[in-house]
Amino acid sequence: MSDWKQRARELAAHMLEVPQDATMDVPRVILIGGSHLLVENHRAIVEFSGTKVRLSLTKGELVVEGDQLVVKTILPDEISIEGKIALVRYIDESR
Amino acid sequence: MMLGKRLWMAIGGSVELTVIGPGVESFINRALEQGIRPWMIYGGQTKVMMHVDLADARKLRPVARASRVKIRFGKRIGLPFFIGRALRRKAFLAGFCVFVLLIALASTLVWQVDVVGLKNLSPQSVLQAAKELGIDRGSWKGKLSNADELQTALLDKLPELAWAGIRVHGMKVTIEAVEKVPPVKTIPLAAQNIVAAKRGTVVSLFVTHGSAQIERGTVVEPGQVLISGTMQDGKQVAAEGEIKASVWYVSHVEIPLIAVRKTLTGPRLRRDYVLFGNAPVQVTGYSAIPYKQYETRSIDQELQIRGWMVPVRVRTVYYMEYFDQKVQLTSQEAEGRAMELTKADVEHHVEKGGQLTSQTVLQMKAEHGKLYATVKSDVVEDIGRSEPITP
Repeated sequence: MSDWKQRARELAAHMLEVPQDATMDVPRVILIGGSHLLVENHRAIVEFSGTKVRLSLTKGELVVEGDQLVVKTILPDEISIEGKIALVRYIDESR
Repeated sequence: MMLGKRLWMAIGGSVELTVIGPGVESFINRALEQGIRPWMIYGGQTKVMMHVDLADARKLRPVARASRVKIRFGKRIGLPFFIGRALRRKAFLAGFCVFVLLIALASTLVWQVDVVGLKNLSPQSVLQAAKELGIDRGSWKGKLSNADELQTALLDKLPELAWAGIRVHGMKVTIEAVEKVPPVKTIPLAAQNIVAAKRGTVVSLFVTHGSAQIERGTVVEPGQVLISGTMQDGKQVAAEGEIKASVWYVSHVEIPLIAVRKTLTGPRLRRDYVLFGNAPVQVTGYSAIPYKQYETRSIDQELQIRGWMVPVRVRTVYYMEYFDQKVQLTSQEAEGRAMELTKADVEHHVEKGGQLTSQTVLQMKAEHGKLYATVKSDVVEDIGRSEPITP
């Protein structure tokens, strides 16, 4: 997505007071307890093992660490992970 | 969505898959691009297990080649595999077929015969008759196809029935029966006379059998023959008929001139109960009843909640104080009471259907605070009494 388009969207979202995730390709992460993690708007799965899952985002990466991690379901833009989640780290490469 | 998806998986069938190699992540991403939706992905760095739809399984080979991973198929889950496995087991298949056949066979049999609509006849007799016609538990339903014929046959077997209907509901046969109204039985009577039971003046006579020996206005004595059962030609019949005569009764009554009347004073006490079945539980009015003399009136109410009957009733009891009021009767009131008393007295002696026609005071005397009266009552009643003719 080109830079000016992105900025226009940001501006529109800001002016209309809409949550950013509704208009833009920003991820939405829901963590339920320490056992369920739902990520919307991910791009791809970069790394998967029982202890670490890395997801690529539009900008940056999301790292999930834990134990006995299982991908319950995966769709092109949605992933739900279950297991003993110890850490969720957001890496924004654009900064 | 999840449940629907899972259900679809179970019906459509799914495959367990093991992916080996360093390119597992790229395998998943490529699979997603191809529209494949794996789930339950677990395992380690280079060996990952996952599930995919059976329909997607054959699309996986090229994806695996592109990602340079090896894939191995594991357990196969779902209805298609289950059926496939089941079909391979000969004994199971045979058993299943036998089961289906048995159910199909069983549903062509009659399992229950019900009889409805009987009043006097026993259901057993109808069931027995039906059994003889081949309608019984365990008989084949095909035989019941011509219900009309069976109904006629059933009616022939049971002359007590006016109508019979046979209906088949699945495995149940219902025989509807309507009984004939039994004819009124006539009891042959032995030869008899009708004689007078009481002394009286004949008012009307209605003879159905026999010959009348009296006419209107005849004064008859008890035991006198009213209708003779012996005809002129010497034949003897059971005399029958209705002889109405005016009979008089003389009653002696005494009425106290001072009557005691219960008069309510006004105060009353209320107690409420809730009845569970027949057990009352008191709710209000625990104070002792302060009245010397009281009358109780109890009102029961069914409890209803939105039209549903609740097995709980509410009882309200009123305790009402009264005192005995002494009232001096006037001579007219006393006479009225005397007449009432006489009427009650006469009704004891009169046959059913008797009618009081008149009352006459023969004598009346007030003495010792009481009214003594002699009253004559005229009653028109049936005085006939049957008496067998003894040769």
